[in-house]
Parts: sequence; structure tokens; C-alpha cells
Amino acid sequence: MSGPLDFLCRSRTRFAILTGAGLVLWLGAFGVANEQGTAATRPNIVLMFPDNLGWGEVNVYGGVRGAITPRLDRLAAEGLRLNNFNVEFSCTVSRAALMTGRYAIRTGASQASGMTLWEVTIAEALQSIGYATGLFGKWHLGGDRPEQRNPSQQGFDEFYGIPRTSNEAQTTIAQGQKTPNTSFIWEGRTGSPPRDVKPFDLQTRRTIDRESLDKSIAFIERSVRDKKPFFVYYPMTQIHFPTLTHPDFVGKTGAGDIADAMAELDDNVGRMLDAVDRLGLTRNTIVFWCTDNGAEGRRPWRGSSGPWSGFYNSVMEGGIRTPCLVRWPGRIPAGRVTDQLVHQIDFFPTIAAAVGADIVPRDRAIDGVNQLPLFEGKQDVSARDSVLLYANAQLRAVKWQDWKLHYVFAPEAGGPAMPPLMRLFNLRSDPKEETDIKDANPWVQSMTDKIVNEFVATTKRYPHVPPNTPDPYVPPKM
Amino acid sequence: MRRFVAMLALPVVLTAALWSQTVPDFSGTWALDAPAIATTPAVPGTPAAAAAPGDMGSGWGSTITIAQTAQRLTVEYTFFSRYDLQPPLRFAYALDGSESRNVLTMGRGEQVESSRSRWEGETLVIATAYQVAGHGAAKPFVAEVTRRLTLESPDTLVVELSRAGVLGGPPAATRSIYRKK
Repeated sequence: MSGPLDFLCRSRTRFAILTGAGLVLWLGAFGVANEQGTAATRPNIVLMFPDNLGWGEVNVYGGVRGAITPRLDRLAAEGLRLNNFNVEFSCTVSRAALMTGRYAIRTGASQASGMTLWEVTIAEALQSIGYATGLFGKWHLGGDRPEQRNPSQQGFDEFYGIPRTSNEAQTTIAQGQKTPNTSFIWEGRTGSPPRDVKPFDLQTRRTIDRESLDKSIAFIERSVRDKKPFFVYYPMTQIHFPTLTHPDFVGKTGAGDIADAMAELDDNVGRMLDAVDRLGLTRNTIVFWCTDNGAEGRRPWRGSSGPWSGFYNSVMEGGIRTPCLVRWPGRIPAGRVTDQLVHQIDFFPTIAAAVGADIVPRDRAIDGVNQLPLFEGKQDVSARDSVLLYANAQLRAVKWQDWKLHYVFAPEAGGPAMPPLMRLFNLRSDPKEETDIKDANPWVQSMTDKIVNEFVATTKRYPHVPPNTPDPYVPPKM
Repeated sequence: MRRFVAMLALPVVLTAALWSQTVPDFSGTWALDAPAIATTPAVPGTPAAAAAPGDMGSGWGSTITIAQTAQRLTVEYTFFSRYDLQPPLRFAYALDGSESRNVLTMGRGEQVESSRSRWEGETLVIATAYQVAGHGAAKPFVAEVTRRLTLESPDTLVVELSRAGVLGGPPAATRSIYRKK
């Protein structure tokens, strides 16, 4: 028997050429696969996203209610703790920003109307490259008619939880409705309409997070069986008001409802991490834990903003700077702490980089930046040095490096703006935003104006989606 | 000798007399009449421009006390609260064109401001520069502000504050109107 290979193999030189070329081809193929990732090698993503949880609730962040968060503290020790993590000022807009990698002002998202289906979410992007995607918890991007803008239309294979927000449990009147018994826990999956499962009331409010966790873990187990990488989004409802905890945790801490809810939340985080570990997924799973906005401000469940002033629904640091922990053993060094500026919109490009796939949309403005090099300790400096802080449609403030210029100073959630409207603070020398030093540092406005102007300039090519835009949204041709 | 001294003194006397005739006296206590107005054209549609028109003010606070002599203008205003037990902020500017140095202590080290003033007709122009420590990759740089003080009437003081752009950012300006108390 002879064939084409015989010719090449007749001499050592030819044999060496052949094997060398083969090796190069093999390594090349491996290199591409390694760079781009494959469904089998891509990391899993677990994104836990509690509600209205302020800086002062987590022990490792200097928690004020005692050592009630051992699992979060351990998570911090095993990964990266961000000390300058920024979010949007309120619930719906925060979720819009997190899911799209865009400042929420661009998306037109609002509590009443939700977010248009034109937006591309992290879930849609990951689904497109073979990820199993599940949402278990709070959605709040569907507006008053969430069945028309439900998670399965935004990239989630399946979901379970509440369509809107936790306070409906107090009245059982769904947002946008007028009669009791209209608030439900729902579920759904791709290709079929959502289904109401059971009433969402003061009893099921206590158990929804544990239920959602159990479903998250079951989803992970199924994904492992199916040999699919997964994206689990677990938007917890604690510690949003009414801060009524699971029966297992009522009175557990002796420090009140918020402390009990934090103990429950910490326990649920631990259960999730234990499941990841038990399934042997620890090193191939990126875990994010961060909160949607600053501390709950409504009595009797007023939370703690730690060292910051203000609460959610304001752009004071207490409203927009929140705890954030990231773990990826073997990639993100354990126990690191950084003060570098990071925003929730950075998650989308960062996850895209982590999974090695070109999945960030290019047909719209994306404000997020890839922070993987910072997370991995390959660089010390953040990929961003500024953050725009909107309150719905109004630009309230700009953070640039350590400076924060309020264009409209409104320190109280829902309260009026207070003259002088423009106030300048340096967040390192004045973390509570108490001493306006614009008289001594008026030059800072030049930088913040520049940042605003550059952002506004992008809206010429990519206009904001107008609020209350119906589906299907078609962007104007520019 | 007497004649010689008199000849030497004559220009000084004449200058002083001329100054007393043409140079306005800003002395008094002045209170901001209304929020300052931004006079820098903003990028159209910029929320920042619409949100707070000119609230950066004069850089001297809402109530100021000015003392003026032929040689010097002093501006003083209360910045800290009574509880803070801090003196008012005080800025002194030579009116002969020489350099004045004022030190500002706002909890971020001592900021030394270097100023020179000049008269443009009845408007006093005070140009101030100060060193700003580097931020991020940026090297230390000099920030500049210019104030133009004009008496529109005996009880109306206008302070126009221009802030030079830094690090590629745009300049900005505001116009503050004070009334005499």
C-alpha cells in the first residue's frame, strides 16, 4: 500500500515537515478554540442580584448589624471585592442597565412600561452561543403588562418568580391594576406564554427567594446533565420592603427584620455556592453578587448605607454605590479589593470577554466596558474613569475619578432639589458629600461637561429609545 | 527742593484723584440676587446645561463682603458653619497689577491661588491660577479662572466668572448678580 503520505515520509526531513505542519495546524486550531471558547469550555455564569441592599448590610463591607453574613464574607475572601461599584438609582432602570450594558436612559425603560424587546440582554447574547439561560426571582422589566415583555422574550429559556416588585405583596394589587388578588408569582419558558402559578402575597413573599433558589439549583443540575454552559440570573427579592423573611429566619438574629432578611439572603447565597461546588463547577463558574441600587429607605425597613449618605432613588453615594463581589477561582485572585470605578453596565462586555465570544451588540451604543483585566489583576486601573448618574430622564450628577459634580443636588429620595443645585464633592476627602468645594475647584466642571457632551454626541447616531415605546421598536435611520 | 518733591508727587496725586473719579468702589456687603446664569453656550440638548443654569456661581459664595482701597480689594465670605469654628474665607487682591497670593484650606491641603488684577475701564478683572495635582494619567496642571467685577448701579454688582477648560474639556462661564445689603 502506498499513498500520498508515503512520499512525504520517505525521509526524516519530510517526516519532520509533516509532523511540524500537523502540530502547527493542531495548535492553531486549539488556540482559536481556546481564544474563542466553545460551549463545552465556556464558563458558567451565576449572577445573584439582591434588592435594595445597602453597603452597610454586609459584614465584609463593615456591616452594622453584626456578623450575620458569613457566606458573603467568604465569597469576598474567595474573590474580588469592589469598593466603587456603581449602579442606577432605582429598580427597573438598574435591571435595564445590567441586562443591556447600556445606561438605562438609552433604553427608555420605566417601571410602568418596562423595556422594549428591541434591547439585547446578556441572556439573549449568551443564549445565542449555546448557553442555557434561566431567571429565577424578580423581573421588573415588563411594565404593567409583563406578559408582553416577559423574560423568555429577552433570552431566558425559562423563568420563575415575580413579574414586578415586592411591595405588591402588601396589597396583592398588581402594578397597573386596581383590584386585589391580581398579583401573582409566574413562570414560563421559551415558546409558550407565561403562566400565573400562585398569588403573590405576604405569605409567598416570605418564601419566594428560597423557591427561586431551589429552581435555580435544579436548573443548574439540568444544564450539567445536558452538558450545556449556563447563565443563572437570580434576582433576589430581599431586602426590598416589605422585608418579611422566610419562616426559618424570623427572629433568628435578634436584630430585627432587615438583619433576619440578610441572614436568609446570606444562607441562600451559601446554598447556591454549595450547589456549584457540589457539582464540581467551582473553577469554571463566574459568580457575581451585587445589588440593584442603594439601601432601602422606607420605614419601618430602612436599611443602612454604611459610610455613604442617602438611599435608593437618589444619586447620593448611598443610592448608587453598592456592594459587589466577583469570584472565579483560578482567574480572579482571591481576596483582592479594589477602589476602582466599575459600573453594572460593565458586566455585559466583561462577561462577553470572559466567555470569549463576540456577543456585544454593535448596532447601538454600549456604555459598558470590559473590566476582565481589572478583575483578573492583569491591570490595576479600571477601564472607565467616569459614571453618569441619571434619575429617570434627568442627569443628576457625574462621577469622574474621585470627583462628583451634582448638576442637580437632590439628596433625599423623591425630595426636591436643593439650591445651590450644582455642588462638587471629592469622594475620598468627603465621602458623605457634605462640603461643597466647587468654589475652590471649578475646573472639575470642564471635565464633567466634556463627559456629558461626549455622551450626548453619541445620541445623535443612536437616539434614546423614547419612554413608553411600544414593540416592535425600530430605531430611526440616522 | 520743595518744587522737585512737588513735581514728583504730582503724578501720584493726579492718579489717585483720577482713580477716585473713574474707578468704582465695590465696598460693601452683597447678597446674591438670583441664581447665577450660565453664559457659556452649552451643547444643544445637553441635560447638564438645562438642569442647573449657572449654579457654579461666582466662586465666592452667596453673600460676600468687599473692602476696597486704592491699593487692594478684599473679598470675604462665610463658608463654614458656626459649629465648624473656622474663620471666613478671605481673598486679597492687589490693584496695582502685582501678584497676590491667597491660600485656601478646604480639607484637601493648602491651595495657593495666584492672582493679578487690572482695570478695563470701570470693570475690575482678576485673573487667578492655581496648580492642580495630577489625576489618573494626567500630569499636574494649572487651572485658571477670571472674574470680572462691574457695578451696574450703586447697589448692583455683577461678577462674571470664566473658567478655562482643562484636559480637553470645554470652558464655562457664569454671571452672578449681587445686590447691596
